[in-house]
Amino acid sequence: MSAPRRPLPPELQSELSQHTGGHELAQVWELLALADPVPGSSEADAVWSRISADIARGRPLLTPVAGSAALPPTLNTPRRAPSVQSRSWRPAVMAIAATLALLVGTGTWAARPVVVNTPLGQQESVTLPDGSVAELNAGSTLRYRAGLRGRLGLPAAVRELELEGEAFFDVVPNRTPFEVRTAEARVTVLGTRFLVRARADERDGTSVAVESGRVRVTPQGAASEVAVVLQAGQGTVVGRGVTAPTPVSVVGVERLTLWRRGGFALVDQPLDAIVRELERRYALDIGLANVPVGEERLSVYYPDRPSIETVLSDLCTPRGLRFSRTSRGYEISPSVETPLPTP
Amino acid sequence: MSDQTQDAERYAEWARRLAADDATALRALFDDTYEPLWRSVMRLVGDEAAARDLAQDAFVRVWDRRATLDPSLSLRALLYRTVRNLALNQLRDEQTRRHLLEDPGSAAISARPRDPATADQQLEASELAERLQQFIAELPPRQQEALRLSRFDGLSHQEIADVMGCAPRTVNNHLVRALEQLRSRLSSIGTVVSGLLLSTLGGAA
Repeated sequence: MSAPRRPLPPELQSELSQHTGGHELAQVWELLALADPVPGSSEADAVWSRISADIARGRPLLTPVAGSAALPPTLNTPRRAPSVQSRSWRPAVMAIAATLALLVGTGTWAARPVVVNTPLGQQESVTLPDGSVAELNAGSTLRYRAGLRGRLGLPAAVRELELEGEAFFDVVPNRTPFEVRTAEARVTVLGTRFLVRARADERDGTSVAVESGRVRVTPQGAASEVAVVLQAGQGTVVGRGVTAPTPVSVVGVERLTLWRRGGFALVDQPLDAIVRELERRYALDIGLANVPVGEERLSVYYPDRPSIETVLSDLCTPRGLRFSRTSRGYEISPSVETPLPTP
Repeated sequence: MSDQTQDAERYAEWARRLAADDATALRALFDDTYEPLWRSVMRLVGDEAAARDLAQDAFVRVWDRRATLDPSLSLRALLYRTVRNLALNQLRDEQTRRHLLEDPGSAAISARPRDPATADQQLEASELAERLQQFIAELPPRQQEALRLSRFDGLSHQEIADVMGCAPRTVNNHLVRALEQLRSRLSSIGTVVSGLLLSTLGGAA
């Protein structure tokens, strides 16, 4: 049961102090904590998506990223967009999975985290409270405190977000640093465009690539001396349990962020990581149980949204593997005819 | 009370940002207010889907009026007042329609479902909590509304006065009478409101 959380309003307090039995009435007030409704929002996510559709006239605050279409040019411009776009945007298609999770019992409004969760097979663009934009790849979760504020609803010293999955950030510069936290790393910026990839099922931990501006990457729990600073076109990786990021390297940001434009590309990844990414992207189960995943690292590049079978075929054929349909997706297995473990 | 001062500052800040066409302020306002707001409409219309629609409508109206918002007036009070008016209009229209359809029986019953919180919502609550819900639901409508807005939704006296269209002084009177009635109902079921009871509660909390 929640603790009494509303102090007596001052007017009522002074009234009761002069009232016969006022003390008891104050206790009734406290007792009413028992009758306080248990928080649980009524489909807040769906309601918000309808509100944003109503008000934004073609530029909703939360935008589904069309899988195959090029990004609308308005994406990086401020919120209120030209109304030209309005007819092409269909609210009914939206499946926003943003949920407002309420911390029960704390009674502090600002402690409510906002959770944006993209389902498998779906990407979304989220306008954050500060006007920055986060584009989430499929199967990703972004959490931040309501209003990007501090614990007690005060202005925060840091615009702090937690990411599990993959997201591209376009940060509106202001005096408050913007920080993305993953299990492995803290990525701190002042205003820039960058990619963070932190898939829980990948061996690489967190990787960061910068499109413009500068960001600082610090392993979780490490002092800032070991941080590396990335400039545009550079990337780094913070592996699991390591205390220092890998040396800064030149990365193809264009390629790493191809998912934003409907394409599919992965650079230097083991087969199972690529398959996991396909599962998220196409919302399928892809069995890989009987296939030995070696040390081999692969890169794939499809500038336009490829069909799943095209990708599977390209992955399997050179490796002596085959794939077959199952009820929930595909199963990859060693080919019967050419049972060679390595190509 | 510093809580309420902080609230007032927050709403004033959002009103200023809304006036500057900042839609993120609407999102912040929504995160802050939606939950208690739909619940308050729910109590009026008794239907969750309708309550959602009315709450949604209220936010859109605030956005439409953003250019003329007065930062010295609480946005929260504006939202509550808006949904309240929308809900009452809807109930009135419904009653008129029923009247026109000559179905006099149903209007009075279904227009304001006055059941205390329905049983399935309360399965897990203690018996005392259920009784409290019931006693609150039995309060006269104005007292009940003032009490819920103040005790559960945390509105200031001034905000409640704006929502209900009365003086802050009247709000205080509603609250005192509501607490008095609750106290007498509680003692009628043998609950002695005392320091002992509260310390028990404190242990459970």
